[in-house]
Amino acid sequence: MDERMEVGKEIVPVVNIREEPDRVVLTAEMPGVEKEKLDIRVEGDEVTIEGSRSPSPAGMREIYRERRADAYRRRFVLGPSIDRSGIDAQLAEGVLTLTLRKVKAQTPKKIKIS
Amino acid sequence: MALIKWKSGYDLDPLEWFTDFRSGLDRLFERSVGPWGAVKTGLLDGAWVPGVDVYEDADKIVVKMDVPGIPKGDIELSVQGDTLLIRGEKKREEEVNEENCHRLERSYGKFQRAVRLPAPVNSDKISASCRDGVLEVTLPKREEVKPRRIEISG
Repeated sequence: MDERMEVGKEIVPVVNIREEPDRVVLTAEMPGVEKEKLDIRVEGDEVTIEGSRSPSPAGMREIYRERRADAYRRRFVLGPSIDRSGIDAQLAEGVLTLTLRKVKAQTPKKIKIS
Repeated sequence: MALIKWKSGYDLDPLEWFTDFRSGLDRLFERSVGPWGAVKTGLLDGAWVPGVDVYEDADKIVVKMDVPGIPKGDIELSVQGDTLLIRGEKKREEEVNEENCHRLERSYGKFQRAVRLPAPVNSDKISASCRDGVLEVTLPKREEVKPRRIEISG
């Protein structure tokens, strides 16, 4: 399934998601988005990444246009192993890196039998 | 993979492609590019084709290309006649393998685009910048092709 398509005026950014022992790392391609125009929201079990970029340069005529839409949006569901308060976001060269730390495994409590 | 006839200068007429492109929108971004995509763009690996816009005004032509995650050192620009050639390589910067991967949608590899310019440019004055994963090339038009007002005398 190719999700890099434009739905209306939005682009669904392509992502890589990999899992490490203590975290899940998601990288999303959002070329043209500056930090100020990037929005990441966690609502319940969902994280939404949104970004916008400036449209075509003002006052210029379009000869040829492949990069049509100017907004990115994609939602992901967070599993129970993800620490909702441990999400870190970095944006560089149009690539968003979201690091989602996992909830620390709790050592089972031993219950003494008296 | 089908043999592609190698046209000199990676002949790509943007207007011609535009018509095909409208009907082939989804296919342009397929990971495995079929014969259509390969012939039109002269792909090297058939892996990845970055999107391009071309704009113009009276003084200049601007070409923009999406190059997320590619440092400018991995992009090469050259102009030959009326064609701007952009080539480079998008390298993997993270370790994603079969064991740890949940999604692997991002494309990588060598790319090459030949953009036919709508007017002759002054190749000495071309400038380019790469910001937020977008390459922007500004090509000033040659003086003699800039629109000039012609005075009607008498």
